Amino acid sequence: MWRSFRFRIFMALLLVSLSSISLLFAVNYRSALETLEQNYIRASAENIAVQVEQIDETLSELYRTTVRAAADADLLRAVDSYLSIDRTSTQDAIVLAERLESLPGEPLAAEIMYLYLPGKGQMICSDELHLLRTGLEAGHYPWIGSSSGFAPILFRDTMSGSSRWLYGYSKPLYDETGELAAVVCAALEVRTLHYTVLDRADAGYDYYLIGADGLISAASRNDAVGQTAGRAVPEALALPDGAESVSGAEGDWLYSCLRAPFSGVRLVRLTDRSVLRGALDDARWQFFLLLALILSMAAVLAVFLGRWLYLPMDSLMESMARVGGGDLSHCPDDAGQPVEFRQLSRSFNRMIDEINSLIGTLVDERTAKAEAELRALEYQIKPHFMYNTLNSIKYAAILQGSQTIADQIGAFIALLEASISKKGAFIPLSDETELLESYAALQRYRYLDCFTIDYDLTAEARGCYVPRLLLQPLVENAILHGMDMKRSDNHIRIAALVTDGSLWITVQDNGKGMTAEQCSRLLNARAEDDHRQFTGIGVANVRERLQLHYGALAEIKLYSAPGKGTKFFLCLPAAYEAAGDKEGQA
Amino acid sequence: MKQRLLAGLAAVCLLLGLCACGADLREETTYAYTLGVVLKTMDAEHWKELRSGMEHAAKERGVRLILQYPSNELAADEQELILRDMAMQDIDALLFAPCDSNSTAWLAELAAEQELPLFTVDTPAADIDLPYIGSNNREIGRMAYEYLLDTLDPGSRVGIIMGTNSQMSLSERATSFHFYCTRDGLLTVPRIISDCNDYGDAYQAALELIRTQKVSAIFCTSGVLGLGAVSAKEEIGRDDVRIIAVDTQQDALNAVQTGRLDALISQSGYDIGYLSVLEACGCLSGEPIRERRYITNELLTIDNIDAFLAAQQGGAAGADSVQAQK
Repeated sequence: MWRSFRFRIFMALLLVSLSSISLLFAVNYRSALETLEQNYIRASAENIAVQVEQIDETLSELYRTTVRAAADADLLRAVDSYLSIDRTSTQDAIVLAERLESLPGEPLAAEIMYLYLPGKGQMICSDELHLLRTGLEAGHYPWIGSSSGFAPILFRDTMSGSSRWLYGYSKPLYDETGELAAVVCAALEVRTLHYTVLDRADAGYDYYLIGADGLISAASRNDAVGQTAGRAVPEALALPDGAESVSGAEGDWLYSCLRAPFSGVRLVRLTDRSVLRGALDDARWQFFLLLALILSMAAVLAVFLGRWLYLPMDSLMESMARVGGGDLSHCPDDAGQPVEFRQLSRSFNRMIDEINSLIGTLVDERTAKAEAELRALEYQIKPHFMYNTLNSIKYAAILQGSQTIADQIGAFIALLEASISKKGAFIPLSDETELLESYAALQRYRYLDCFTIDYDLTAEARGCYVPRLLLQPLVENAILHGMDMKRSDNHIRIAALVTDGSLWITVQDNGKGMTAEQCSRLLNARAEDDHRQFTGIGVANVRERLQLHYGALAEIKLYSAPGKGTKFFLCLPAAYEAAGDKEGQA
Repeated sequence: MKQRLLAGLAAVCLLLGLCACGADLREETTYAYTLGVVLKTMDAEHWKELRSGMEHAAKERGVRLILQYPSNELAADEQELILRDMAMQDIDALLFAPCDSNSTAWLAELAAEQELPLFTVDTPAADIDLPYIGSNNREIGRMAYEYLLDTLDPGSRVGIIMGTNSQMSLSERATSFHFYCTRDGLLTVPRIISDCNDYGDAYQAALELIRTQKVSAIFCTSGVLGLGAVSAKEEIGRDDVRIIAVDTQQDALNAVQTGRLDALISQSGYDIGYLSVLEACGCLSGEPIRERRYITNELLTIDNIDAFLAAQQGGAAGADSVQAQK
């Protein structure tokens, strides 16, 4: 199964799908993350812009409250009046505090108003519980002795018994002589900003409100309040010169920082990227789970679909296996199969039909051969009968003193035996010449001894094997077509010798000769059905047999001209063994 | 085959690498200039519009505004404290609408020490010559005069109700109006009631002018004063007394539309604010400082008030007039 083509296709498709989906997801995840972070940073920047605007407006109102108090002539008169009292009482302080709280115009933006009276070393406060404070020390209220400008001063009202952090603005009050009469300060608790502006229940981020002096005045982490910004906030968030806002990503944090134009306070928001990514990561795991589920379902579906798709293939493979096992009668059924498989099945069926046809032909041929061999056996019986009969006649002729007839019959028997013998296709050249002599004896008797044959064969040539009846057609051609029967000096000369492993044979007559056209026809045409012929084997047959047995190693040439006789020239490899037809070759 | 596999892997790595190359998320905002702005107050529609015009121009030009104002238009002491603090800020120019036009020299000296360009907005300085962006108040006086001259019989008596004398914009309008009346002798000004700072003051002043001075018309230097005067004439049933005022606040416009207020000379706070920021930016970028930049003032009556309001609602009025100035 693991090595099947179907499994490989399945795995390839699965791998490609999984790779594509994973790559697509990776790209989309990255893009989505960037978009998410960009959008978050933008939204965060817009959000803190609103917060900073609110903070700045609150501090601006606080500043104006201070200005109102500092410019209020009635308050200055009340201060002068208070200062003019040698031994002030609590009631006097209450009157002054009430005046402090009842400035004309809009309601005070301050949560608490302070009035420091350097002439008496007192601090009168709008906080009823800690109205009058004495014994002030340097550092208790950093706004004393300085005009704050637009930047609020962060301080802790330690004398009120609490450790609350406040933002305050202060202004000096001068009397008519230009002497410092008091310092007024309008303040509000930083936590008020925290609760009204900064804190969000669903925030999910850290924030730091940093004053122009670099001190953290409010933060989502209480322990950071009062520290310098550099300890709690990354260096990257330090606003460059001239920059009013900066936002971006740094390490594990997304940050936004904006400086308020009026108060100069900075609001920094830090969001842990992992928190922001949390939702996306959850979505990622959900995606992976969903992907695994879909892939599992797809795999199951693919298996079933694969089986369904492979049904025709399975059927075809089964048919091939059966045919391969020898069941050539089986044909795959192509009904209802897809076009491709129908074509394959039909081609396969045609192939089986062809094989069956070829096998049938082979069987027929073998049957025919067997029948022919049987018939040949039957024919072998008849020649024996003819030999026996001819021998009987031959010996009868001898007994009756007719030696000539006996010789004729003997020669005929020899020829007949050679022509239908099954002993082999090759015979020694000496045997071939004996057959020629038998044939010549019959022909001499027929044509009244009008020709002679002489043999010039070397001993080595005599032992060479040649195709049976190789020379008989040539001699027969010389007798039938070359001899002038009116002459008595017709002569045929047969010579043979062995040179360099080749047997050279010449058959030459002094007969009528042939034209070139006759020569060509003789060498190439089939043997004529001449009733005068002995075997019906023509000269062309000799040439074909030489080519068949020896190929390019053998050749036959014919030299003839009218009135000048004919000369056959044969060359073939010299062979001295005749174990079989082929084995007789050199 | 191996090379193809490596090439494929390299392509995938490149693709993933490109994906991994995140966009630079850092963004910084910087401003071309920081302008300190100190207005008279923010308790009237005119000043809110002026602030809106400034903020709009600042946003367009990439300018940061640090804006402050005292509790009311008469709080010159508060404004002085604010101006002193503002001059100490890291600002490129200071624009202010003086509560007291006669007390600005000290600021000019302070600004000179700081090498701080100084511009007056809406109200010019009287004690020193400073660049001014706002209405042409003399022209406003002339327009009011010509309107009443057209609608009244020659020799008619006309009263003037004006705000505080310490604000040059108001005094200039009244002075200009009085000047033309006196010069031509066609209209008589029996009395000028000054230091009227609110609706109630104007109401009382109008009663006084109508009852005792027998005026046929009253010129009020602001819209609030005009509405107070209208209230007075309506109460005593003297609809024949013509009232003309200066401003573009909505309640005054409505009064013109309903016929209660006879005429109003427009003074767009938005245009003044917008033009002020442009002028300051131009100065900071090296353009020559112009002594006066005036906005367009238009005489509004019941005949053209609808068209004016339609244009204003289309958002084009302020910008168009500013563009026309440019």
